[in-house]
Amino acid sequence: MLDDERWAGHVQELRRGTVVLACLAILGRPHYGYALLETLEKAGFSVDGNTLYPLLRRLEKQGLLTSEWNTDEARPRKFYKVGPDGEELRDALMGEWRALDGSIRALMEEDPDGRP
Amino acid sequence: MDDRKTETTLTGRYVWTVTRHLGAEAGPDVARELRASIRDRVEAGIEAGNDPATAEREALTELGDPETLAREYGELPRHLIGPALYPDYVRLLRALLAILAPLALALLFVDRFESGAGGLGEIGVEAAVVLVTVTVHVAFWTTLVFAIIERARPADRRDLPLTAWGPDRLDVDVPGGRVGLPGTVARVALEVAMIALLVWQFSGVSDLGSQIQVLDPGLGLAWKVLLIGALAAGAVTALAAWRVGRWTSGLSVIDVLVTATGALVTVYLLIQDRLIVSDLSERLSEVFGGTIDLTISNDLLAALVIVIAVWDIADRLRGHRRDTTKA
Repeated sequence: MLDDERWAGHVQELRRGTVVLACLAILGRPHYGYALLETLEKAGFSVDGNTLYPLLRRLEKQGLLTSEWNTDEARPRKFYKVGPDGEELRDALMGEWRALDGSIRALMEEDPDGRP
Repeated sequence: MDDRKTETTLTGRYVWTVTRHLGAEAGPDVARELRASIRDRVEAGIEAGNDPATAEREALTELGDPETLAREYGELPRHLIGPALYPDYVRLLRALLAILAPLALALLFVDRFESGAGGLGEIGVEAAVVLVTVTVHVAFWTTLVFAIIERARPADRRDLPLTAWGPDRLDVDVPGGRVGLPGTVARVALEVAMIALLVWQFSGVSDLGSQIQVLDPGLGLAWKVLLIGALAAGAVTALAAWRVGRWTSGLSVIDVLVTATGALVTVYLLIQDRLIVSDLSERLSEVFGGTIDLTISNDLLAALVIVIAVWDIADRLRGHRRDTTKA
């Protein structure tokens, strides 16, 4: 039996690669940074602000997200939304995700006990 | 107004630290957004029942070291030399040290040899200083160059190594490799030549007018046998290693003991002024004509003998450790 810390490390490692996909999925509707952080957290992606906020700007720089300052409310906030390139990437990543899921399932069914 | 400049609240100081190096274009925008994010987090904390000051501290602690965040925003590396460059860095560092440290030592010995000055202790201290100086300089400049390369590369190329690796770069010298014939022949030939030289010198040269007596033929028989015996034992050990195919633990131990014995005896005799004839300069003048003043420092020769012996022993031990850790 693995100890808790190592266990958590492997789970986190697996989830880390899915944060971008999760962001692209949520940002079909515009969100501001902190709201996105909370949505991700509720969905079980424990990502920290100090990772997420710079990540959003990087994705924007890569042309995957568009952003807009909303100054209608009492306090201005920067809203991010998936752009056309981002939608394309999201669909491609989604396809990868399903392909991986299928491959893993096939491997497990071939060898349900995981023994040689 | 530049959104980075602000009042001296904790949040203000935090935002300023994160954004001050981000440039006039991105900096103010990051500052404005980051302040909004912190405020959102603070309000969530207050709603959860904290007082505003505690909520602010919590929010900033959660975001962590502002320098780290600044590097994330600026897409700067958070390490001196990353994993992609590290193997090249270590390889270059090793190669430079392996070449420059012995070279610097050799230059030092040549210099002291020519000037003939300095006792054994003095030369030892100088050698240590030279070694430390060379190591520090090589390490510093190599590290600096690699740190600059790491920072000069575009962020998306940071995972790539500097030089492409191929199977041609695999180490030739691997454990389990047989002791080669050429190396054995070279070593045995050298030792046989040395033995011949010693026998000739120790028995006294036949013609003092054309040949030079360097070593003292008056040296006690036991010492002569010990010196020649160490060389002969070394040659026999090398032959045995070749026969067996590798340096076994036993052979390695014998080789180290033989090398150490030869070196210690030589150093002892040199320091006691018993190995080399006292009138070497006059004899040289006699044979070559003119006046030759050769004041070789015995201490310097002793230091050289020690360095060579330590080198040999280290080489043997390293080879042995490599062969026994093949696993």
